[in-house]
Amino acid sequence: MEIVSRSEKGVEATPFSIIFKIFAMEQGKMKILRKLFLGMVISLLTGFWGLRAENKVVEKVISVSEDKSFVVNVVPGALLSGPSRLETAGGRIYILDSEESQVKVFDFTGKFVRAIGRRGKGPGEFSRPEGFFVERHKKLLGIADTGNRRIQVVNEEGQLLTSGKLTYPPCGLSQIDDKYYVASFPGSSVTLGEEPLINVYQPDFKFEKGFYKAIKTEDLMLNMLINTILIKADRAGNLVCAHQFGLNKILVFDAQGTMIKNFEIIYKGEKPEVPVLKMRIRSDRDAQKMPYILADMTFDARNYYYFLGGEMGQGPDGRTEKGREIYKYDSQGRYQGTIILPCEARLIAIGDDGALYLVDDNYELRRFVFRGK
Amino acid sequence: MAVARKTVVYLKTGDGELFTGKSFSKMLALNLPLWKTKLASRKFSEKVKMRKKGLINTIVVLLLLFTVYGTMAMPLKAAVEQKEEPSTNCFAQFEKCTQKVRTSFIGGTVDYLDCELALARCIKKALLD
Repeated sequence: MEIVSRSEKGVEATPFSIIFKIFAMEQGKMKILRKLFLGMVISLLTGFWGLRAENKVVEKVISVSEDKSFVVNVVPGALLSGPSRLETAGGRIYILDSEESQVKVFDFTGKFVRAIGRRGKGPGEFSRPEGFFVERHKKLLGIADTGNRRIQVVNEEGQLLTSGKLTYPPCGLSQIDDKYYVASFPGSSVTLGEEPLINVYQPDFKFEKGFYKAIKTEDLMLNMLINTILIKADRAGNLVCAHQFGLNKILVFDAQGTMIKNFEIIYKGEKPEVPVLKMRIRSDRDAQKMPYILADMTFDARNYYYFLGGEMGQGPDGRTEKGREIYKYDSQGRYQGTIILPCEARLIAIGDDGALYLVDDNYELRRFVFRGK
Repeated sequence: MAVARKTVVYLKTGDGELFTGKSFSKMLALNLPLWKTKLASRKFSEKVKMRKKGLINTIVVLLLLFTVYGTMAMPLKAAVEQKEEPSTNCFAQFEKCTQKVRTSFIGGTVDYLDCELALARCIKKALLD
């Protein structure tokens, strides 16, 4: 009679066999170790899957296809140099070109209609404007004249109707019930003083109130980035405010400035936690590490919200790219689906015709139609 | 007997028949001498002890490896990311701008807010375009 062990019988020692041995071991000295190991494995697995389940949603893909018949006619003045905002209203597409300090108007067939404004300091002239709104019924345009630190309201021909001087550079502009909602530039004076990021002005540009205070951290540059907001009025007459960099926050305010909804976008089906408020921005490289980049947002006729993610991702060819996904939410902040674009987008708008208009990374205006329901 | 019952013992007879501690009664039925089973148990206990030591060593080594990998992975990833990042000069321009503000006379055309605005515009372009 001889004594043999399983390993002597030709069974190789693998990680699985080690784990098996732990469980097959006798009750005795190894009892504690075995229990510890088992507990550790169970807690790790439970914690890992629990965390993943909490931060993940099932992505629903909304299909779109490009309307190839939509071609922008290339005429002088129609080319875009630095588009920063896109709006549609009354069969027209309006693109704010900050670089050229103009609003370029196209119709829904892609025909260039006109350019409104020019660079300058005079009436109807702008200096690197960064926000605008289009009044749907009267076809008036309100321009956040950032460089000149003023708001100008012009008609479709570009004639100045009214203007209001500000003490700060406006970076976003919207209109609800004839009142102007202005997003201020989050410079050091605003963020250090924790001043309101949104100011409300009456139709005669008399200051009414300010709300939504700037978030202050120890880093001035970080303050500037995380307090950069996009503001737009949704179809229900509420003001939607979205942080563009670092903070994954969408806030909905009513016309009185009371916050009625607050939610987060779940990018690529996941909600990773990033300690943004502890970041230090000392160089361009640091800024490039900024998470949660929101390129643009728009609303459709049924008041669904569409958020264009600006974060980097890998394209089919392995190249780094941005702005390929649009996340659709309802006005209550419930996820509805994801539109995966066949191109990189910079700006988006849903037209009254239900089509999706976008400005791609080559600054070209394109039209997409939704497939299916 | 008690030793053998507590230890998982594998005893093989000359015929190649395998017994474990649990089927010890069956082994006894073969009328094997008691000293042989005790010797077998002692030898096997030593082997089990050796294997336990080996197992503990393996676990310790694995834990060490995980710890080392965990601490090394972050700086390595950061280094790779730094290599891939495009280099822009927004902050360099900002420095130049603030220098201009500091050296200009009172009532100059550019103030600190303009520099901040230009920096924000530059970073925004780098992040979005």
